[in-house]
Amino acid sequence: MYTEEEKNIITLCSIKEISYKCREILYDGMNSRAPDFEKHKSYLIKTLSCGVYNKVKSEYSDPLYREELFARLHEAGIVCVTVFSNRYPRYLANIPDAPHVLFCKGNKDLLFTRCFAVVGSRRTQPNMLKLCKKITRELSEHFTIVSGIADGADTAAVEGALESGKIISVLANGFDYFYPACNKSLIEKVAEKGLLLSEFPPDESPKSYNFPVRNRIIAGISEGTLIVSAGKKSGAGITANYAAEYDRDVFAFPYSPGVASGEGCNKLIKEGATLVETVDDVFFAFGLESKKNENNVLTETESELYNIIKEYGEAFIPDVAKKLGKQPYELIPVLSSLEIKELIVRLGGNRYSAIK
Amino acid sequence: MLSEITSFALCGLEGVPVEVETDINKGVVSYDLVGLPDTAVKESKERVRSAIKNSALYFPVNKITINLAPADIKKEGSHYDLPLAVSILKASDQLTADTDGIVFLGELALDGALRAVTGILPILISAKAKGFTRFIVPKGNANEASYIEGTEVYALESLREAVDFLSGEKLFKPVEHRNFKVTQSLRSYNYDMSLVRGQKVAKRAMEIAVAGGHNILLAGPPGTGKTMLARCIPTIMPDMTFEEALEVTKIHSISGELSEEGIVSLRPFRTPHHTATTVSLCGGGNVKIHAGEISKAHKGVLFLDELPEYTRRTLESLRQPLEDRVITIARAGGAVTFPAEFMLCASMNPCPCGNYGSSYLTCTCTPAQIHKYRNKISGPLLDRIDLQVEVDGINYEDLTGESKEETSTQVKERVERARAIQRERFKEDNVTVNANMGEKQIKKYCKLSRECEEVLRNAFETFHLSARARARIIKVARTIADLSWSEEITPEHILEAASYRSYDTSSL
Repeated sequence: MYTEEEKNIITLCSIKEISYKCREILYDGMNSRAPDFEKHKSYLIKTLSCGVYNKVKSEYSDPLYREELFARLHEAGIVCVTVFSNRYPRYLANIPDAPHVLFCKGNKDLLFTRCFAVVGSRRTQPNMLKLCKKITRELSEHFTIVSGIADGADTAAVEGALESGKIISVLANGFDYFYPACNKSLIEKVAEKGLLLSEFPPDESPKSYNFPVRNRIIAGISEGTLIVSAGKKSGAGITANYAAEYDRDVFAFPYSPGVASGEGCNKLIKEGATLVETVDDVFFAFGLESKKNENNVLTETESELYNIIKEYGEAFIPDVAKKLGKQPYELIPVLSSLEIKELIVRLGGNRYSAIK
Repeated sequence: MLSEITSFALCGLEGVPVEVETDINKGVVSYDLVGLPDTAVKESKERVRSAIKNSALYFPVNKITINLAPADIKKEGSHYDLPLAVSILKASDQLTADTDGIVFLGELALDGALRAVTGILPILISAKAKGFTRFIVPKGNANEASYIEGTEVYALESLREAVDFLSGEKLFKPVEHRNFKVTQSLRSYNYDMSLVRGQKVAKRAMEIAVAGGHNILLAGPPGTGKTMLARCIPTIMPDMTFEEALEVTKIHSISGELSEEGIVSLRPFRTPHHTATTVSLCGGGNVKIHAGEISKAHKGVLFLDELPEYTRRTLESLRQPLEDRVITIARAGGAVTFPAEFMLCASMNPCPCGNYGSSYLTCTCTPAQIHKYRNKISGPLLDRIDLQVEVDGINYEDLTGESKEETSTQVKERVERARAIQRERFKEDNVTVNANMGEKQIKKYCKLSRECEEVLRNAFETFHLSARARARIIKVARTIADLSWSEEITPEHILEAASYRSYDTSSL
């Protein structure tokens, strides 16, 4: 199943004391095909201390440790794809700091499909969440969506793509942990219908410094990255930077000035990211076309109300009612109907906003 | 010598006749009270002794044994003072008049004056049903007693008066029977719908809620008038009938919360603070089983402000009474059933910071935080709240504008019309309002056209509604149809009903 050299690097990855950098050095900057402990002994002892070095080395060469490790991975249904494998994703292999091993859970055929990253901040406005969900659903026609699994925009992206099963969620922790806990069921669904990916062994707990590191995989595996929302200092911004660094297209939703969760997006657009309003904006950049299936037939009152909400941007029911000369409650059925047709979204406080 | 006097004990809301038997014999001087008396009853010995002496009567210096029969019911409260005193006077031959068929109730002061007691109304009603028609009660309970027709109630001021009355030395007129007037009730509410500016959507939801007897949740930023809106609910509820008023008064009477008027003519509006315990909300107690807030809100409104702040256990305890509309409290000493047919109105902030959905303040909560906050209210409880509505964050114009608002009376008219339709519909069923419909009635009275089914299915998919929400939406749609005098439920009604379940959905 795994070749000997694959087994070596998987074992090495499972030993937490050995960092990414240590592995690079052990493999002579990934030029050699086997780790050379003796050659780099002095460096390792300097960084790890003598005791740890001995422990690591004995673990690495212990056949029992290996047997146990692979049995555990097999039992958990985890498949590993290493840099030495020809099944390693092409785009990801091109980045300078590509992960050595990808722990996969789910449909790993998705690694060979065209990927597109959709990420955003945890604090995203409800209408943008709806839009994100809608666009990822449409994007999944041509792309496999790559995202994290955090609350907010990532969750919306995952939910949008989950229906088609074309979803890769890259985690910043091992598969033994469910983070964030509120998305436990979603993580399980992704493992079932899509693919969970992580460069960390299953027993790695979530650590704050691993998240930005994880973002390079999201950007690296994808042909382009859409930033749904990003504040001034945001993980989504880091992903966008990686994408630009790897020479991939960056896309962003526009925001009106003064929206905190959109500052990062607007900044990206100013710096040259492609502004995205509909899925066609993304498809155009790749020379793709979407299947037009606008099957929303609106009644007269519905289209009248929809146009007013679009005009307002963000409509407060009593205001709209006043404009139409109606009682607010008379509009409620129409609003509900528009909401069901996914043309508008409820913002809370009896305010609505149009999607698109 | 032996004497027997009738009084009553209360088991929950049920009155049980108690015979006060006194035997005075020669022997070592003693004064014993048997028959499961509680502390207040035991202490009455001393009050009775002083009251008799201070009423210019003679307290016998003999062996006195008093028995309260039946001996297996716990006797609680202070209303046994008067029957005890009369019983002693009779056994010592100071009173020879016939006391058969007269029920004595009242607490004695040391000087022999009669003090008002709690629970007169339920006792009177039970006693009347058991064939007792003549009562002697303290003057302070006269108002309360005056509403029971076909009784002869003498409201007296002291033990001396009671003795004079019984021996025929003085004449007293029985308390005059009063009729229950509901007409004045509306004027005495302190709140009115017209005082709440704007909030059209919330007002509409409240109208639906009251018309169909549904429970309602108001969500909105702090300080936007949720409490004010809730306080208007009783003003648009149909007036209480005499029977309803009596039921409510009974509960308030045993809790000692009756006003001077003697009857509860306005629909109760109870607002227990969120530190309330399960027992205070549902009722209970060690020795005497008290009615809880949910019973005191019987036929009225139970308003739970800041719903997520209540402890989970307290909220969960509401589920069963919300469904059964009664609560049975079982304790070692026995089980008591109190009615608890209340309309639940709850309010909450939309998120921990309170600004979610506000047009001018930014919400700083992540969706997970909002989820966690809303998840403090369990699904099963939320499922029992048919209408979940958002309150507008008010803007300045709403406060100052000269918009004309509907008054409670206008809304109430529509509510009463919708209620009349429901009464007609449920003539043969044992439900009164749409909210109480069971699966059988929904099938029978809420037939959905194919178009409606289609709309409902779409709503389910988009809003991620739970299966239980289906029945609730149909019930609310039925009420909306009733409000618009429509025989059929139309897709519009379904759509409107679906929009009032926003807190059920996981779409954030």
